[in-house]
Amino acid sequence: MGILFIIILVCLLAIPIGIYNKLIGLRQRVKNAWAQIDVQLKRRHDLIPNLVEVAKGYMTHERETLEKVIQARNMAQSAQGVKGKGEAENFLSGTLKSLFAVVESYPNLKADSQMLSLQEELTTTENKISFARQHYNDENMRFNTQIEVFPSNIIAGTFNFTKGEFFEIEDQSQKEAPKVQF
Amino acid sequence: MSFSFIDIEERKTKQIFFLFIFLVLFYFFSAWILTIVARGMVLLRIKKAVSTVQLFTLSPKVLFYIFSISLVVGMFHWFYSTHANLPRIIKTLKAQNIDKEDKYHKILRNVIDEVSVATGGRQIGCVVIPVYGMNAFSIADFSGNSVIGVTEGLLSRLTRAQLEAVIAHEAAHIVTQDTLIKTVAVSLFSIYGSIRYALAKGMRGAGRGSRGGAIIYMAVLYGVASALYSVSKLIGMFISRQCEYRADAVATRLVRDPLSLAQALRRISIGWRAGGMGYDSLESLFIINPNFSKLDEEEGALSNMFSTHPPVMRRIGTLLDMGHSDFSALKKNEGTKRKRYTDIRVAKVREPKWFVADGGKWSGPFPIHEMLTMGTLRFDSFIRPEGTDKTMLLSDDKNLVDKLKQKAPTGTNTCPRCAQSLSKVLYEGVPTLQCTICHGMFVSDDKMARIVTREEQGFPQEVIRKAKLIQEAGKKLHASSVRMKHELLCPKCGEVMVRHFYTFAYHVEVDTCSRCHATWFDVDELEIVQYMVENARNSNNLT
Repeated sequence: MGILFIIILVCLLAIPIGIYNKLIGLRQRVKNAWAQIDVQLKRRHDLIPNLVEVAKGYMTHERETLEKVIQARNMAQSAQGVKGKGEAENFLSGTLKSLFAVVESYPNLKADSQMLSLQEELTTTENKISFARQHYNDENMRFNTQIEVFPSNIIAGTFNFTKGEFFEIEDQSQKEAPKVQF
Repeated sequence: MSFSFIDIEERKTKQIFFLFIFLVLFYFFSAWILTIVARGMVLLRIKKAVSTVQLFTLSPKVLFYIFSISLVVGMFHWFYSTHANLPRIIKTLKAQNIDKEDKYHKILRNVIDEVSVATGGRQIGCVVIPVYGMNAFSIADFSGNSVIGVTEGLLSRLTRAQLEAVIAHEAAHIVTQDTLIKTVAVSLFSIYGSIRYALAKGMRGAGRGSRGGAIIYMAVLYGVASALYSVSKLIGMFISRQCEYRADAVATRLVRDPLSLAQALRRISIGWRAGGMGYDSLESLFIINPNFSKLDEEEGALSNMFSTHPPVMRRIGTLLDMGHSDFSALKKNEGTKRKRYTDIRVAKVREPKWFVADGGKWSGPFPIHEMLTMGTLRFDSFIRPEGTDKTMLLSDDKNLVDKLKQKAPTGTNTCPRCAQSLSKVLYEGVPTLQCTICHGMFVSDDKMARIVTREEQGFPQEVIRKAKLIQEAGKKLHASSVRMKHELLCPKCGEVMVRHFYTFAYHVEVDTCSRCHATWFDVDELEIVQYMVENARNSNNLT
C-alpha cells in the first residue's frame, strides 16, 4: 500500500517537473533567436557609417539626408527592449529608403564599386534580419502558446513565466528592401 | 506533413535501416543465384540425371554461409561508400569551391547565409558547377556536414529572389534530412554507374587502338556493370517524390516567396538542366532531374514508385496556389537580365618613356616596347627619362634594364607585351588581371567557364564589328594553314605561351600558357570571344 502511494506521488511530481523543464527549454530557444537578431542588427549598424562615408564623396547637396541616416542609426543603436528596437529600426529603414532614392540621381555613385558591394552587404544583412525576426517570432509564438494552454498555464503562472513580445518591423518584404540589380 | 524534429529523426533512422537491409538482401539474392548456377553447372557435368528440385535447393548450412558473406560484403560496401562521400560526390559533379572575390559567388554565399538564418542557424557549405545549364543540388553526411551546390548558369540568370527560393528548397531538404537519405542512397548505388561510365569510356579508347582482346573483356564487364546499374535505378524506391513537394512547402515557409520558386522551377525546367555530364546516377540529388525523363512527368503507381521527381507542372501549380496567383503571373517580372555595357578598362597609367641619344641627337620619347625594337640601343647609350633633365647611361637605370631584358621575376603578374604590372578588374563579376597600358586581359583557366556563362556585359559596336570580320575570315580558313607560334611569356609562371585559335569555331587568336593554361587576350579579344559564344548560343536557342 505504501509503495503504491509513493509511486503515485512520484508520478504526480514528474508531470509538473516535465512541464517546467519544457518551458525553460522553450524560453532558451526564444533567447537564442533574439541573440541572432541582435547580431544582424549590429552588423547593419556597422555598415551604415561606411555607406554614408562613400555617399559623402559624391553627394554635394544632400547633407541633410545623410545626417538623418546617421542620427537614426545612433538612435537604433541605443534603443532598448523588443518594442523600442523595432520602432527604431523602422525609422532607420525609412531614412535609408530616402537615401537610396537620392542615390538614384547620382549615376557615378550608383556605379561605384565600393557602393555596390556595400549595397549588397546591406541587402543581405536586411534579409538576414527579416529571417531572424521570422525565426524569433515563430519561437516566441511556440513559447507563448505553451504558457497559455492547460495544464502548463498553471506552472507558468506559479513560476512567473511571462509572455515574450513579438518583434515587429513594418512589413517590408525583401522585394521592397533596397536591392541591387544583378 | 510532419515537421517536428522527433518525427523526422525517427523516419530518417527507419529509412536508413531499410537501405542497409536492402543492400544486404541484394547481395544475398545475387550470391544465392550465382551459387545455384555454379552448382548446377557442376552437377550437370558430373551426374546425367538431376531432379529440378535438387538443382534449386540449397542446404540451410550453405544458405547461412551465403548470408554471412553477403552481410560482410554489404557492411564493407556500406562503410566504403558512406565514408568521406561528400568530397567524392563533389568531384564527380566537377564542382568547385567558391571564389571569394567573385561577385556572383559572393552573392551565393550571402544568400545561403540568409537562408541559414531562416532555418535557425544551420551551417551550410557551398560549391559551384561551372556549366551553362541550370540546376541545384544538396548533399549531407552523417556527421552533420551539408553542402548546397548550384550551376554557374543558374547563378548568372536567376534573379536574387529566385535564387533565394531555390536555395531555400535545398536547405529545406537538408533540415528535413531528405538530403542525408538521398546522399547515402546515391553513394551506395552510384558505384555501379561510375564503373559503367568508366568502362564505356575505356571501350571507346580501346576501340581506337588495336587491342581487340581488351574490348571483349570490357564488353563483358560492361554488361555486368549495366545489369548492376539498372539496380541503381531502384534508388527511386527509397526516395519518395513527396520529398520534393514537401521541400517546396518548407521552402515557402522559410522565405515566404512561392512565386519566385515557381518561376525558378519553370526557368530551370525549360532549358538545359546540366544533364549528360557523366553523373546520371546522382540525378536524384538535384532540384529538377537533369535528364528529361518521361516517367517523371507521369502520375500513377509505377511512376510514384520509381521516379525520383514529381511532374514539374504540378509542382509549379501547387506553388502558385500557395502564392494565390496563377500562370499569368509566372512570366511577369520573371527577370530577363538587362544587358548593359560597362567600361571596365582601368584608367590608363601614364606610360614611362625615355629620350634616347642616337648619333649625337636626342630622339623620342619612346615607351619600353618601342625601345625593345630599336636596333641601335646599347648599354652605353645615353638616356633621359621623360620629364627630367637627368641624363644617364642606360646601364645605370637598373629598373629599365630589367624591363628591357623582360626579366620580371615570375609570379609578379606583369603584362607580357608592355612589361607593366597588371591590375585587378572585375569582368562579368570575375576577378581578372588587366594591363594598365594596352588593356590586354589575363584570365586563368578556371575562370574562363564563368566568363562565357555570364551575360551581364553588353558589347560596344567596335567589338561586334571585329567579331563579324573574324567570323567571315574564319570561314575561309583551313586547319592545315595554322602554324604554331610562341611569342609571349606567361605573366604568372614565366613559361612560353602558345598562340592558337580560341577554338576552331571561334577564330580569335589568343596565347595560352603551356604550363598553367591561363590565357592572354589582347585588347577587345576577350569581349570578341564572349560575343561569339553568346551569339552562337542565342542562335541555337539554348537558353
